[in-house]
Amino acid sequence: MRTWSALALVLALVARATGDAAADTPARRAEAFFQSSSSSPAGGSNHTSNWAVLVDASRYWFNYRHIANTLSLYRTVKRLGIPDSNIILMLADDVSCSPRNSFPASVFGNANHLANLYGDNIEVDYRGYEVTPENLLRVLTDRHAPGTPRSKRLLTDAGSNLFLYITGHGGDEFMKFQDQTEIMSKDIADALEQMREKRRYNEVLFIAETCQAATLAARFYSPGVLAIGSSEKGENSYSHHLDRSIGLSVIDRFTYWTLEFMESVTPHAGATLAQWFSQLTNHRLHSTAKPRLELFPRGAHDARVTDFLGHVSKAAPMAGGGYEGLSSSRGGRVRTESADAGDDAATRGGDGRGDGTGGGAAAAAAGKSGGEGARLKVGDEDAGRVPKAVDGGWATPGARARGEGVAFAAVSCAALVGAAAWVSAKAY
Amino acid sequence: MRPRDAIVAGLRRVIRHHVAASTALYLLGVLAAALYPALARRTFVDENAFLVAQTTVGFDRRDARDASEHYRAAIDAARTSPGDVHRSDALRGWLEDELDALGMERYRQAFALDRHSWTRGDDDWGRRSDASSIDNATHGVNVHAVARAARGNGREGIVLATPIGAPGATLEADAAALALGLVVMRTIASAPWLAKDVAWLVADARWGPGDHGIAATDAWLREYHDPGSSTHHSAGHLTQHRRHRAQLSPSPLALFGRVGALQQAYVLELPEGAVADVASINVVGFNGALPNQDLLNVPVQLAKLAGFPRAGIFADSSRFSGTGGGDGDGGVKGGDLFDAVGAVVGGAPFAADLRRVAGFALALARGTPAGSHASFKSYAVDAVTVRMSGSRGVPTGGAHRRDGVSGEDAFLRLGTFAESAVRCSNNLLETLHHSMFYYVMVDDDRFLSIAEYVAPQGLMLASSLVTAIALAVIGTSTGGVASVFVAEKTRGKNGGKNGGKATPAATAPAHDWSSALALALLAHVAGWCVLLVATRTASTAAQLAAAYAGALATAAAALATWSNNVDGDEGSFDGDEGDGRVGARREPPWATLKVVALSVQVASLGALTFFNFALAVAVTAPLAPLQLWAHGGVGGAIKPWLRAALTLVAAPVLLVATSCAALGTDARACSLGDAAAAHVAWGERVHVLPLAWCVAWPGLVLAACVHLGGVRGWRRGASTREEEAPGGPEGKKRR
Repeated sequence: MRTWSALALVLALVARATGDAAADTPARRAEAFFQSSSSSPAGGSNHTSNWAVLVDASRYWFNYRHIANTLSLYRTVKRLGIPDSNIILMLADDVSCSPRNSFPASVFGNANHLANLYGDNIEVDYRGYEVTPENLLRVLTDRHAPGTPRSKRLLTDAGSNLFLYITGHGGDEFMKFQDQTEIMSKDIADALEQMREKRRYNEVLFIAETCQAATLAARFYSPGVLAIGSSEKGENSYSHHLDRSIGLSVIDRFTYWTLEFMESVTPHAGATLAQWFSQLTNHRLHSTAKPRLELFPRGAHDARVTDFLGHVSKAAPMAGGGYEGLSSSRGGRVRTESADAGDDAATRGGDGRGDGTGGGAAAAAAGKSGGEGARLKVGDEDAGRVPKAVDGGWATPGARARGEGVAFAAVSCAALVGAAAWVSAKAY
Repeated sequence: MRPRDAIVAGLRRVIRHHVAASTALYLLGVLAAALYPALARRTFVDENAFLVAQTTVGFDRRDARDASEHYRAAIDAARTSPGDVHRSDALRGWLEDELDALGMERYRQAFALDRHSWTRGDDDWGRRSDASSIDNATHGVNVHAVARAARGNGREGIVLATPIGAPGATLEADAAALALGLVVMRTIASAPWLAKDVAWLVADARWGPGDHGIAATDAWLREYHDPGSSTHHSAGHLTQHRRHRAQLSPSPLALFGRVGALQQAYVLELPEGAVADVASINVVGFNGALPNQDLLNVPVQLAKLAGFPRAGIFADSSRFSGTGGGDGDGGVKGGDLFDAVGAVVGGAPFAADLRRVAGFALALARGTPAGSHASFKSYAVDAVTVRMSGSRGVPTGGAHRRDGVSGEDAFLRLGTFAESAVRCSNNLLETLHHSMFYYVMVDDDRFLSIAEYVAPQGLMLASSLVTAIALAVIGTSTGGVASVFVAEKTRGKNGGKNGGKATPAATAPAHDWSSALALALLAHVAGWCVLLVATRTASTAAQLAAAYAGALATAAAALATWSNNVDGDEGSFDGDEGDGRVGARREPPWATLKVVALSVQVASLGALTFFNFALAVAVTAPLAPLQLWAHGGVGGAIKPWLRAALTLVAAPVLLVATSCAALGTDARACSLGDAAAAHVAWGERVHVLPLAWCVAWPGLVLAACVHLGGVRGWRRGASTREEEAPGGPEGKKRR
């Protein structure tokens, strides 16, 4: 009798010890990290994925700069970590293939020609006459014809932050498409409201670069939308400079100065929207870029640029360090470029169109940076806190479940053994 | 009072006082024309796709040096050619060799000329034209080269044209044009931005009216749009050329290279050779047809960017003057009238503006083009002629100018301009549809659009219309006028009570429309006969004889028609219908004829306004007052027959003399025979002579007939019911 009782006591102690050990696994710590991250003191975003819809609404050779604007921001959001799978790129014309282009298969946004915006790695989702107000609204509301490829759909959810950029020729509360049709501010406003009702976004950053651009957001009424235009009502929006070898203006002022600012933004930088907008002065733009903040309670000072133009990943390649052997759980194997150059090249690449659609932060992070041999550091980007290192792999809900299962089994076994001992003692 | 009632009442008041209203409207129209410069707006390039001044130019000093070498080589080739080869043929041969050396597509087109193009007779140069051709007097040879856009779709093309061999052109001028075109085409053909094919037309300017190769360009365009047709257009008496048509163009489709739908054309003329100080833009086509204004403003900007000190439509002061002599303002030569207006309104600058407006309008009204761009416009291809000359702006005919830019420097400017123009058109994605096609230039950078310049014409036509309506509705009788308005007023008041019945005292005018229409038709048919005589004989005397014969016939017919009704009781009532309605009062036949004449004038000149505004105004301005003044009254200081004679004889002479004095034109040069010859020479495509004989002259004849209405009354001893002054007695009484 005593023997059985002692055995049961030992097993119970072992079971408890096992349960404690499971609770203290990296999964536990990761869960704790997420909880801390989502409740950041600075009012940070609690989004779980980032998406971008980049629209060039105008066609024809002389609107080269609008294509360059869009491609510039396309390159920027990719550099900051949004994968092609999460970018809907709409180009109304293909100036790179225009016979008027002195540099075939190239698009430049600067007369110095240092960067070919067209490059080797570009995925245009809607091109030419596919770029219409109807298709833009279909993308936003996810009302597509049957058989529409997944790459043409905006698969956001309630945790998605959306960056919506549109450039072209517009006017008071409208934007021209293809020089033929128009989309109205009210159309976009209603589409955003549909998205809200369908829980298709967490927050939206809307940018319009056109004449009287601010009026394009005048009818917005859905919460969580921050809008800014390159010009106020009654103002024109201007191009920045000519490229005489191409023979036209290659970029607009708003985008040019935005890119100037973005040069200093890394995927893990803490730059805020307010800092960005402060760079867009009247002196630089020759127009007034004033954000509309009343629908965005968090405020531009508390919203980081990377909340919209970057990636939600908390992981970044780190030069050196001993965190190796991580593997993705859901995103598949994704090639990650060298991080030798530092943060700037942190998450560039991302040529895999991984799942990344509903898995939230963990899945997306794994998809982007879980490549073999990558050296990762897990960082809490808030307020520049020291990144937390997690060894043994990135915790996921699955890992957490596995740890709890082990503890439960141990406790169950101990209980069974104890019960058997008690029955035996009674029997004897 | 409702707005509608107010408007109706106002219109009735205008009709009632139609004499004063017509006079005021006409004077207002004249005043508005005098204030044209005050309404002018700044020019601008409306089509953004031109992308003017946003590129680096590929034509550089090395190309200019090459052009200079080609220039010398072309001159040598022409001078060393055999004596029986025409100079321009030698240049063409040299050009074809050079094009072959460049590996560029080239095509040769031998074309038979239309009869109207063949007005200079035999070769003015005194030598045989083309050794391989069949007859040097009746055909020309065009050469064109094509630069293909490697990445273009070949659906659209641009044309550069350089006419050579014009009677006034020197060898140096032709050689410079060919050297420039050759190097520009070489540069363009290798340009990475080329999206449209470019054709370079070297037109044979030896034939046809004018010195700009218009006949040759016509032939090239005919062949371009209708293969094989350029040889079909030979005149009936040129049967020999028809027999040799196959030899001229054995396989047009195979030998004539095309560049798709032609979008724009730039004609470059270098009358002084390699000299580049003034770029004079010419846009006036047949009958005042103009290209889209963007195609005027773009070359002006490009020329200035290329370094031309002066560029614009008035840059060459010899143009837009009546006789070709410049006055320094680019406008017409006559000064007194414009200076007088300027002294009242805006001083010397205003007078200069007005002079330029008049000069430009005169060029439009003439309807004869001064460049082969007019041929392209006939095919709905926007085109301009750019004439590069020395700083004085007057072609000297010499080889080189010592002042200003010449030689290699000039080629650099010329090449820069030509390449820039082609690249601008290359950037276009659509045909020109912005900007405007109806405009009058006030200066190189100011213009009047149709919205501004149509007002005077509208006011002058409105003055005629008011009188026509007044005569048709209320007639000439005082009683009739008063009673009609009394009746209408009464109807208005009692409309709801007695069913709209008028008072029995009211009368309405009754017109004999058929007689008046027959007379008007006769006058216009007679005018058309005069035009036939003009085109057949090209004689001043024959035209005058035919014109006055037709006028006499019309007048005789009018008198005969009216004398048949001499017992008719004009002014009498046709009878009361017995139900209290208005009785008809028969109007004098001259009043009806005046209504018809004014209506025809308003309709024809109103329509012409939209085809050739300047010509329409030029006809309306003198014709309207003459027709308004016409009346059949028997009183006054001037007898009716004398008024008729003044209308038909003195008025045209006075009008021509006044116009010539105002515009600085030599009146002795205004020969009807020359006008008829020019009309034939231009292929009867110019509207001045038809308008003069078929619209203006019949208008005068009808006005004279209206005056003759008083002759009958005078013989009868004066009818008391006829009016005694223009506008009728009611006008005087009401005034």
